[in-house]
Amino acid sequence: MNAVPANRIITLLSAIVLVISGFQTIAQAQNPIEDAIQQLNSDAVRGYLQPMVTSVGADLNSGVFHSAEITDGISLKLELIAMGTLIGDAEKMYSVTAPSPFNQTPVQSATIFGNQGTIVHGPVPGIDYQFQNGQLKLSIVPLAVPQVTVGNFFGTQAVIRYVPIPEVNNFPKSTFFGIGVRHSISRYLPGVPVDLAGSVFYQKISIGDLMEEKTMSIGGQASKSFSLLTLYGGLQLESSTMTLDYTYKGYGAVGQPHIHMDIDGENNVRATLGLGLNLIILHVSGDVNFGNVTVVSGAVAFGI
Amino acid sequence: MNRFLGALLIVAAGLAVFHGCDLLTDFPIILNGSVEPGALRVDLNTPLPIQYQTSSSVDLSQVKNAATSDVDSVRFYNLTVRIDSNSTPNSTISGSIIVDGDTLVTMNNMKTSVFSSERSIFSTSITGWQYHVAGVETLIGALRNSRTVTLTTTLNSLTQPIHCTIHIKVYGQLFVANK
Repeated sequence: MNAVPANRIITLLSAIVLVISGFQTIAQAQNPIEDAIQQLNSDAVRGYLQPMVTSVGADLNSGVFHSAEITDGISLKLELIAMGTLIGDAEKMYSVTAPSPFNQTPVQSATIFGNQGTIVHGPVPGIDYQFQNGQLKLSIVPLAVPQVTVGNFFGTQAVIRYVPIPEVNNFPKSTFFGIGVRHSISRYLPGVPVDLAGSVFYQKISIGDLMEEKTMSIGGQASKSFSLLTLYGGLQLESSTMTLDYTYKGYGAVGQPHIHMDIDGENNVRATLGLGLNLIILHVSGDVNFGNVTVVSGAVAFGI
Repeated sequence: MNRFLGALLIVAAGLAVFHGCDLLTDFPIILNGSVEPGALRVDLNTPLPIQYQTSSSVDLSQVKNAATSDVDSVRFYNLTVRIDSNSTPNSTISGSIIVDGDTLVTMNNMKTSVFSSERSIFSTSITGWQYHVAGVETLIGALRNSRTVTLTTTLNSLTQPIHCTIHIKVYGQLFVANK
């Protein structure tokens, strides 16, 4: 068995911490992303952050399966899954209105992934209002998670994701947890030439008490093996919701107004197409997912 | 298939370099800063004076207090007036707000209740309320240079008692370098 180099595992786990750190920066510490968000009222922050909520949710809802075959017998796999949502031009702009007394006609301005914020001219030369600039230069939003798949009992297997991060240096205690169930449909349709399965999966990332994102997915999968190769695909309904809590410090803020709001991800349906390579206890796979956004993912798994 | 594999390689490469990579754009963070000269309490009973005037110094550099790191530039974008603790909401006021000798805004026969919510000097929906370019330009320059200005509030043509507190607030956008 070829072990994954330790430094590679560390890099991938670092990616998990870094993404969760990204959430943490929004939730608490003094940092550019948090500063940028605190200037936005509830209407503007929704548009500004929407692409990030959608992309992170789409990432989390990826990589749950790499085959629809769930044959009864002992099965245990430890997986490392990497995924990335592609950021296109549509994710870089949103519609927003300047505060009164500036022109109330909505304009297109930069999201958190965009470029310079749009400038609206005021009634007097030299009086301008500029919307928040984009802060993240990403063409893809990456994420990596560890996953354990255990089964298969009566055509059923459990899928678990878990990353606990203890409180360290003012970084609040954070938890990433996911749990799901996959069940073989082929056992009821023995004449079908492909393997069929269905799944339900729930995940939650919590950063202290300040922010969390939850996802849920329900999907159907199909696959066909050809010697060492497995071709797989699926259709999935999914949802993601980020809950934000922050103090608004923008125009018109009186006192310390607190904003608490939920932002739903826009990726609700996806089609998956992937290819896997099975080398006894080493399994490598990759797939592309098409929905409101495009997500690519890859996985390395060890086990049977 | 080549683009698919390429995308997977991008994910792998992105993860490999993600940690420690500079993900932030070069665009500055834009913060909202503001400063108030302090509440102006007005208590005028009969017999009313011909004119009431009060002045206060405003250190415009305090607009930058909203930033926790160095501010590259400041841009003035609004000045607002709000009146609270007002026991004479139907009393009318006329007068002006002047900055360093230049008229910023004039008021003509306006009820004090109009300012129960924060009102911009640039608002065009308020009858009797007019900003003046000269004063605005003075404020733009003063904020850009972070200097102290004198705001003078004058009320004249008084016909009714006035008991209220006037709040004037100067707003600026702070451009903070992304580090």
